[in-house]
Amino acid sequence: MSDLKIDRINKAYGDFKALIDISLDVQNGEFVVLVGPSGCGKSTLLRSIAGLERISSGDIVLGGRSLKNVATRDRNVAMVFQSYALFPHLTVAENIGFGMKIRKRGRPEIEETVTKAAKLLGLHELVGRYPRELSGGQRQRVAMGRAIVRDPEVFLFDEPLSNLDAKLRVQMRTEIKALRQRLGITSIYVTHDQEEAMTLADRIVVMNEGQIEQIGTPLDLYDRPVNLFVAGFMGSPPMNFIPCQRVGDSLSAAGAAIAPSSLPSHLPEKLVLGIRPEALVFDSEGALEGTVEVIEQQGPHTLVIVRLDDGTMVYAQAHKHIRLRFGDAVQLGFDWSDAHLFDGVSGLRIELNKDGR
Amino acid sequence: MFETNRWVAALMVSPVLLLLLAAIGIPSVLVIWLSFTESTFGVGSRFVGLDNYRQIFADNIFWRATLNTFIIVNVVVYVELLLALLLAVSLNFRFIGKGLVFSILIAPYAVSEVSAVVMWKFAFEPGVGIFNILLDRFFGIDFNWTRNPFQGLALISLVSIWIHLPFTLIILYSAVATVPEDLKAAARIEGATETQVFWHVTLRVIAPAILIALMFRYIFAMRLFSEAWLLTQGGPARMTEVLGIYLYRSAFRYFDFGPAAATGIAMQFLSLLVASFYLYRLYKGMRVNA
Amino acid sequence: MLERYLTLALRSIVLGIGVVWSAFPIFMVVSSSFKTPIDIFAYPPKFIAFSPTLENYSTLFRAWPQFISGLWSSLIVTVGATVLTGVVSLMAGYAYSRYQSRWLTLSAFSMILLRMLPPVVVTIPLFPIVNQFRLNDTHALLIMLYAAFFVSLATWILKTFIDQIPRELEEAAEVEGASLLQRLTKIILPLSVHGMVAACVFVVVFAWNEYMFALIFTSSEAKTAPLVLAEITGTLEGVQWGVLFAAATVQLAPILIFVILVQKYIVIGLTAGAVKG
Ligand SMILES: Nc1ncnc2c1ncn2[C@@H]1O[C@H](COP(=O)(O)OP(=O)(O)OP(=O)(O)O)[C@@H](O)[C@H]1O
Ligand SMILES: [Mg+2]
Repeated sequence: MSDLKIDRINKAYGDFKALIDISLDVQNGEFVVLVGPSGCGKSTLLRSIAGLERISSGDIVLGGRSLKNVATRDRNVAMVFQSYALFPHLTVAENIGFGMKIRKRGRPEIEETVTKAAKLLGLHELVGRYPRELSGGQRQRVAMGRAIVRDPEVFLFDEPLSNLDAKLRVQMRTEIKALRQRLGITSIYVTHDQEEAMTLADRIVVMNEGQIEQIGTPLDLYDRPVNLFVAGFMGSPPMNFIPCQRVGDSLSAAGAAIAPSSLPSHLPEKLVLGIRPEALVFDSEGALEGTVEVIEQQGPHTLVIVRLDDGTMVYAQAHKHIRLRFGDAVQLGFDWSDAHLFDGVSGLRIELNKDGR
Repeated sequence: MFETNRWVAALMVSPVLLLLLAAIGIPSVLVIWLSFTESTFGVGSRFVGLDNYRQIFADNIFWRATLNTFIIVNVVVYVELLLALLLAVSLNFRFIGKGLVFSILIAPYAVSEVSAVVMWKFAFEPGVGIFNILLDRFFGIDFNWTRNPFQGLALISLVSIWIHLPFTLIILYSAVATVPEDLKAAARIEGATETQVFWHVTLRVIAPAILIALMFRYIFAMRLFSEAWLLTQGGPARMTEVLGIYLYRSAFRYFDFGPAAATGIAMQFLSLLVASFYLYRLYKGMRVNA
Repeated sequence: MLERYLTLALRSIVLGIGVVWSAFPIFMVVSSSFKTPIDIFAYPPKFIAFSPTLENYSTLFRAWPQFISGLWSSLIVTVGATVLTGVVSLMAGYAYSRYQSRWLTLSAFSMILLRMLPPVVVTIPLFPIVNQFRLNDTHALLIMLYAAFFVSLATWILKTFIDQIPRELEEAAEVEGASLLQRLTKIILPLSVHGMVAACVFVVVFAWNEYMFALIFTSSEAKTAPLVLAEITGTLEGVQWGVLFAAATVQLAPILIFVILVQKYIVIGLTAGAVKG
């Protein structure tokens, strides 16, 4: 295991810039999760680290060694592909032991290591089977097995669970977590699934259009998103954005005056107020007024979509027994400590005083 | 991928290209030069301009060979096409033993020209061959192909068709088998008879395959040498020669490499003429893919 | 209904004639090779050898020792041409499948163009060159020539098969430490065996049966079985038909069995390759 240092790398396909000035330091044993919308360059970044793509500029340093002129096969990284990329003509055992065989390790050593890995992953009864004879979850485990036996310096996962059904995904997520705690492996993990990102990550990297938007712990991103993009990306359902204006010392949103006790100085004119659905409460004293549009029962709670007076739609998370009907007029309130304020033009977050009330 | 650069690609295709260049490409160009020279065994050559061409164009036997080639190629290609089409359509339904029937139908593909000639020579051996006896008895035909050039050409065509029918059959059968059943069913629902289904649906869909089979068979049939050489050696009196034999005789019996090369150029020209249409379409297709 | 029975009857007749047409000549030669000389030309013909005899075969191997060495030559040339075709076509097919460039497209195109040229023509300029390099009457020469006329088809067949192997498998192997050669032998080759068989059947059949190149370029050492067979045909003045049939049967049997076993691949190969190669 080693530190991984990504230093201002760029990757272009012709005129198209897939990665722009990406810098990222991953500590030894750290588990970093990459998230971002489809096509933002997550796979490209992972493949660049593996050497499957040639980067246009910048450098990648793994364990103090620059990978600039190192071929993929000499990089000592392991990768789990979204499609698993298991070799269909090899058995489970042969798939897991492939890298060791390529490196001409002795047969007894390979056998021992493969058996150990198979046991660890609960595959020991399947070692003689071919990939086509396995279920999706078992295939996934074989792909993991192939990665762990080689004792690589860094693990790369490209959406390894996205081909599994929801239940299996949760189970495998737990297994990966257990595995990483056991093996303490430096990893970079790409996912679309926020829950997955939140549960697994030491740090999350949010990417958008080839650039890194924010790097931070899961809570950092949740509590202090640097801009509208990150705020809107993390959390499901997403954060509500309500356009508002500064009017003197106060703010006006959705036709209502809402005022924190103290506003930072030098506020721009156009602002966006961000409030997560769970921070919006139904409160007859609430400043925001609107009508109920949609009610979705979600089990533990009820999700209500409210159309505010200015037409903005917001999600509010309510108690599951709340009595509301389509068309009801409601008031919504919130606590300023749960609210976020963003510059309406640049989208950047504006720091509110902690006791913003 | 890191290793995937164009030098690796070039290195990987080079053995094939070298082989092709050494065995076909360079000789095919050399033959142009040889056709303007006079030499024996291709050595001690002397430039003679168009003499070789003048010589073969003035040679009746050359024209006879060209005519024979023309006749045989057309007979072979179209008879094969007809037979293959009949067989392919007849084969295209489920029945017990289909695999066996198909195996037998393509078996001649495994037979060498020499063995095929042995087989048919035996069947048509003047005086004693079973077909000679039958032809004589029922039609009063004295089928002596060793004396009658017309019958000689007929036998050469027959053997050639027999050997090459499997090729055409396989291409056409694969095409016929992929005509969607739905399409045929739709035509039947519209009231089409089986014959109409064949003409208006099957034949339309397999038209590209027919074209390909035709083109390949034209090019391959023009190469005709072994069957003809083994059956008649061009006889009697060089009446059943084809271009391949004319070339072979010039080069390796009379050691006149110049006229042989000129004949070769004529053969190349004819082959490329047929191929050019196909190659043109292929090239356009490859440009789009690349 | 009537039409249906009619077409069924027509189909059966056509197929029946087709089967007889294809099988009869082969059957006659094979069965006659076990007949005594008197039975061979009996009329009405005896389709089955009633008193089968191996006499023709023993005569063949006694009177024509060169036939044995011809078979041996044929075997060497066939195996050699097949291996050569397989190896170089796999490499080229891989390159055409995984890389794209204008230059490669052009080379692929010229491969097909060269394949269209008539083989007999190249013998004229090759003859002096071959003598110069003392390649005359060698197996190596025949191997090269036979391979040359089939690498183009084989390359295209293999390319279409390799196209279907996901790149990700190779990338996974690369991450695991495999070199290009290891990827070819451990991933590409095992996953394209069907393509390999389909690519090689044609050169096997061609090399085993070829007559013209062998006639021109061999004289004794490298003489192949079809050539010896033709010689036996040539000395027919005394008409030793039985011996000839025995030789034809020996030459034919292995390749016929081979073709029947791999017919699936012949169909696959022709449909994949005929369009291009
Ligand atoms: N070989 C290529 N040539 C040109 N553009 C490419 C190539 N590979 C990827 N791209 C582009 O680069 C961008 C990033 O692709 P990438 O696969 O990294 O996205 P991603 O973040 O992994 O998306 P997803 O979540 O859908 O997997 C995309 O816009 C894609 O179209
Ligand atoms: Mg991706």
